[in-house]
This record gives sequence, structure tokens and C-alpha cells, in this order.
Amino acid sequence: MVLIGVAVVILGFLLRINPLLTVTVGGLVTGLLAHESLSTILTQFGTAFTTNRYMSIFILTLPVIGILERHGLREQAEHLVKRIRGATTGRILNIYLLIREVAAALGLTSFGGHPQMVRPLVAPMAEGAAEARFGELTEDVRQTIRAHSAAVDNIGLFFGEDILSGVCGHAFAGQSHSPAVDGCPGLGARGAGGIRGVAHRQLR
Amino acid sequence: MVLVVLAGFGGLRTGSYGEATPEQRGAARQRYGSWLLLPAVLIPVLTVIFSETMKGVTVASKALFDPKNITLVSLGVAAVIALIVALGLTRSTPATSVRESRRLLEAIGWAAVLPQMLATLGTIFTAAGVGTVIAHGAQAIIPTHSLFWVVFAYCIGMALFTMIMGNAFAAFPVMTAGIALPFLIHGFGLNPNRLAAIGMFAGYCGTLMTPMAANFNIVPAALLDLPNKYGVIKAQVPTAIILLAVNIVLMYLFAR
Repeated sequence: MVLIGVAVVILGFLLRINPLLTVTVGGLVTGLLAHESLSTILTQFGTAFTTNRYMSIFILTLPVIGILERHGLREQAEHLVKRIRGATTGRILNIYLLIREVAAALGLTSFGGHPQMVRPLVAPMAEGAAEARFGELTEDVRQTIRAHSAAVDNIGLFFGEDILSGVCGHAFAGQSHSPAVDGCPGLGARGAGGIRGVAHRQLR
Repeated sequence: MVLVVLAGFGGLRTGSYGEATPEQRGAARQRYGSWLLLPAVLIPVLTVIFSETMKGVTVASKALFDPKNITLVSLGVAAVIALIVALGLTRSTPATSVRESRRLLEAIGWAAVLPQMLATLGTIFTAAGVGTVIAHGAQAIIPTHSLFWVVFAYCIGMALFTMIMGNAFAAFPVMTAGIALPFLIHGFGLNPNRLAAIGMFAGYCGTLMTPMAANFNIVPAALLDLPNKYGVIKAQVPTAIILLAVNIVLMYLFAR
């Protein structure tokens, strides 16, 4: 029965209804089907919304990026890249992927990110490299390049981070009494570190 | 809730904020040159430095930076410092930066609150027991005598359930307790550490393909002015599917 809520959400996304609306309705439906009172559901919405405030932390960087963009940050990034011979979109994205992945593997996960790095620097550089080579870009190509700039940031972060930190520990953080932990030897100290670790990670 | 109703029915429009014209931006760029990159680079660099050096720093026996959220606090401080540098460099007033960040935030629009809302939904799903239902369903259909098919079911399950929850950390305990522990670890004697590592990767493949991971997939699309909100996901799907297949093979071959 509770799966109806999941179905609502999937349907909402497929029909491209505003995600915010879809998600709220999905949450309400799921809660109601699990026989929770409306006030319990609203409380859950409220609590979870506040505990996850850290997800909106990127807003903090917007004043800096905003003012730099006003003074031509993106244009400068494009301009710099056009002077480098041999720079191509693919090479730039690959280099950024490598940097992001290595940094994340060393635990420097805050090095990078879409508002700080991709929008002001990586995407304009990737576009600039393509323009230097092929002249004016069509809107389609431009958007594909931007989408891939965002994608390399995600991919580098996700798959880089866990090379070093050892997944077992932080994945079980907060679940220390789940039956699965018994099957995960070598957890001990790492599990405790993981609980701290997970507190300032963005869940994904 | 009021926010949702407003945004949900298209009640929001972007305001106008006297944006700089391309010519103005070009002129400013020539004036400041590569110095413009400095504050932008300062944010990540300072964040890293602070979060590494401020760990044990205490003032009057209280931690200067909250040790539980050290990265977040560092990011905040780094952003403030970078803002001061940027204001000094461009000789702008703080009011300009407030106006500029409003412009950016409105460009993101309703997507800005979506990550928080989705995390909320995940909590409600967990409370309502969606995960256990899915794990039981999966247990009923997989042929448990075949190592390959159990590995297959576990990895695909991780990816799919991550797509529903928007986050692999929520999917992992449920799928691992439901499928991996009884069948793979106890049944086939796989190495739990390797299994967990590859299992998480399978989950990340799901993260790359779902709009539920809004802070990674939807907000960036808005930040980069992509008209298609699913543009970033579209770019990631091939990578995700190939890596998922690789993960299945890796777990089958090496997780013993």
C-alpha cells in the first residue's frame, strides 16, 4: 500500500508536473496510507525540513559568485581558455573530473561544487574551448556542454570520495544496531569515525 | 506548504534587477583580468584549509568551529572572506552583492528548496516502511541459488531504491539487510567489506539517474540555465548504466 506514494512521485516526475508539488503530494499520500494523522505528517515535514537545512548551504556562496559574474568572471574564464592552444571541451572536462576525483578521494569534498566551480569556471571554460575551435555554438551544443560540465562534478565526487574513506564505516553510520552491522567486520573504530563523517556530508 | 502551493501552480516570476549588460561585463573583465578568478578560487581553497586546521582549535575550552559541522562552518567563513575580497576588488557595495545573489537565486527558483523537500520525503518514506516492502518484494522474486542473479538483484535493487529515495545512504541499510546479508554474506560467504563498497557504488549509479537527488541533478541544471531540468541527468545516464554493469561484474568476480 505504501508503494502508492512512490508511484505518485514517479508519475509526477514522468508527467513533468512541478517537482515541488509532486514531492509534497507524494509525502502526504504515503503518510496517510501508513495511517498517520495529518498533524504527525506535518510535524515530520517540519522536522526533516529543518534537519536538512544544510542542503541549502550553497546559497551562502551566491553573493560572491553573483558579484564576480557582474564583473565578467565567466567571460574571463572563457577568454583565458581561448588562449590555451590544444584546449578542447573534452580535455577540460577530463582534467576537472580528475582534479575533482582525486581531491574527493583525499577527503577534500568541498573542493568543487556546482555554484562555486561549475557555473562560474568549468562550464564557461568548456564552452570557450568549443567556441575557439568551432566558432559560434548552436544552443543545443551549448546546453549539452553545460550538462556534461555539471555531470563530471557529480561523477568525480561520488566515485572519488569512497576510494579512501572506506564505505563500510560511514554507510552504516546511524544504523549501528541494524542487523547488517554484524556482517561487517572491521567496522569498529571506522564506524565511529563514519558517524562524524556522515554528519557533514551531503547524503546521496 | 504555502511555498509549495505558490510554486506548484506557477505563481513565481523572475524579477528584474538591472543586470549588467554584456558590454559592461566585457569592460569590467578587461579592467580586472584574472584577478576575478581569485575570490572564486578562494572559496574552495579556504574551506579546505579551515576544515583541516580548525579541527582542534578551542577558545575558552569551547570549540571555535562546531566539530560536527566543521566543513559547513568552514564553507560559511570562506564565503564571507571571499565576499569581502570580491567587494574590495571590484569596489562594489554590499547592496550590489545582495541584489546579485537575489538574481542568481531567482534564476534557480523553486528548485532551491527542492533538496530540502526531497530529504523530507525520504524521511517519510522510511517512516512509512517503503524500504521493507521493497526488500521483501525483491526477496520473493530472486532465484536465491544463483550467485550471479542475487548479485544482479542486489546491485539493481540498490540503484532503483536509491533512485526512489534520492540518496544511496537511505537505500543501503534496507537493501543490504534485506538481500545482501541473508543471501550473499551468509549464503555465499562474500566479503562484507568489498560487498558494501561495491553496493554503495551501485547506489551512486542510481543517484546519477534520479531527479530525487535534486541538489546534484536539478539545482545544477537551474544554475546553468538549462531549459531542460533533466539535462544533467540525461548527460549522466550512459555513465551510470555502464558503471552499474561494471559493478555487478566486479561484485560477482571479486567480492568473495
